[in-house]
Amino acid sequence: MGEQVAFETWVAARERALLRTAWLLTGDWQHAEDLVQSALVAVWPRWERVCAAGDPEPYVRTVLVRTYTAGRRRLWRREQPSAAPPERASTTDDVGTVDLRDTLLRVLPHLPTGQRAVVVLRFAEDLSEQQTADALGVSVGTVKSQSSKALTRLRAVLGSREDVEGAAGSRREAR
Amino acid sequence: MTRLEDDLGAALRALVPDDVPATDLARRVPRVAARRRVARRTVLVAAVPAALGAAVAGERLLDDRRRAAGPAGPPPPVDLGRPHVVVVPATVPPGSTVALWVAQPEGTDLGLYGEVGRVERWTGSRWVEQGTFTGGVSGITAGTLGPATGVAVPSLGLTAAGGRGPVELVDLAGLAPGTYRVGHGGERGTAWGLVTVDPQAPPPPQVAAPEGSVVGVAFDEPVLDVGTAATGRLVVWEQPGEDVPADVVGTLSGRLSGPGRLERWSGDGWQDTGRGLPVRQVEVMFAVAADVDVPALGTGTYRVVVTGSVAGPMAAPLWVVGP
Repeated sequence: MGEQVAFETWVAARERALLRTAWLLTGDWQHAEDLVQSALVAVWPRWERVCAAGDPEPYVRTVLVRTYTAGRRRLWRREQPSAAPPERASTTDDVGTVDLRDTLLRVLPHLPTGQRAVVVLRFAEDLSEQQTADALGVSVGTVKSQSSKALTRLRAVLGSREDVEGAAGSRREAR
Repeated sequence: MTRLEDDLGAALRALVPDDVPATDLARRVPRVAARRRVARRTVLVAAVPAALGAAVAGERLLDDRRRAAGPAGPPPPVDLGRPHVVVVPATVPPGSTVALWVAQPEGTDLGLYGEVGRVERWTGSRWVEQGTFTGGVSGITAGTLGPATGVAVPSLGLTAAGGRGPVELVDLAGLAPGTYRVGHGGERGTAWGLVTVDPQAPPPPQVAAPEGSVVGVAFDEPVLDVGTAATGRLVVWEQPGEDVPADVVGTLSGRLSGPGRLERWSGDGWQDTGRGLPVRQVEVMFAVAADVDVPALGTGTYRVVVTGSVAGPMAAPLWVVGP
């Protein structure tokens, strides 16, 4: 019973962070919650051992992203890749006001599973290449190549460096 | 690091909506894990008699597994506080055509991607993938259901401008009785809506152009708010598959004239409301169009029947919805 209380306390404290990571991987709250639940269900039976080894968060995060990548291989979450992200139809003339956040919203769903996971762990979660490799169960070389491919793709969609810098600048000015 | 890498982390974290849902994962997870252990144990224990060919034991196994899965329940309701799909009618007999659109409660623009949506079936305890749908975006013809491996159309980006997406007609032929959810991906995740296929449900209104029509007419914005008068723009469209060049469509329809006859769906047929609506022909490149003054109406499904000087009477559906 003590183990369950400890588990419930930990989940209550960390579920928002886990859900936010899962949202970046799946793109919606419903699938994010499904993903977090699947990961926690896998972790719960060995909770005592996980905690005995130290902070459980890296382990839970590892299970989370591996559940995500495995689930995508099983088409658990059908999402149809396309060669190029679509342009959003707009009722306003927003040429020249490229926004990094808006562009990411459009590009992220179209990144292949591995690249998306690497981008989320490396940049949103701020993990090192080694930590990302450990979480995904791949080599550091794979993390580097996946990260490079994802950034190349993002740059291609984001356009010129000036656009990116302009967008970052306008965001900072807006704050 | 380059600037992109500098900015990426913060931009990614800022993507996550603030409305992190409240969950009961802390209490739910041990229960779900325990239920799965029971289900696995049941399978293992029953495996021996099953291997011995004991048909009775097999039946018992099925019963055990059904009990382990828990009682079937209704699907969780759609969260109307976030982008969702409105389906009209929400309950239809098998083989019906429904109208659906994405609604964004905040009333702001919402980007949607591609014309292909998802269909999932409620099993009593979870959603399982059923396939895809394509919407008849023009409102003239109905889209159809497809396999789960359908190909998205990346170049066709739809937007729920001002909080409401384009109306799509979808023919649900092939769906067995049950409850389904239909969804469109978008920049804030998948927007879902529920539809139930029930043999006892009343027939839905006929909103697609009659079979065999070469041209039809539809409102540019066919969803109106209850109690709000509006001027709607009617546009003549060719029927998909008829291969009619855009600049010939007007020749096939002729000029539109009124007054438009306003009819309301009564549940088993269209009833004339007795209201004649003024119709004003307007000049639009490569198309025939007219503006129609629609009075404030109560919720329901309506259609406006206008006359093309060549095509004859044509009907354009309207949906009037509450807040």
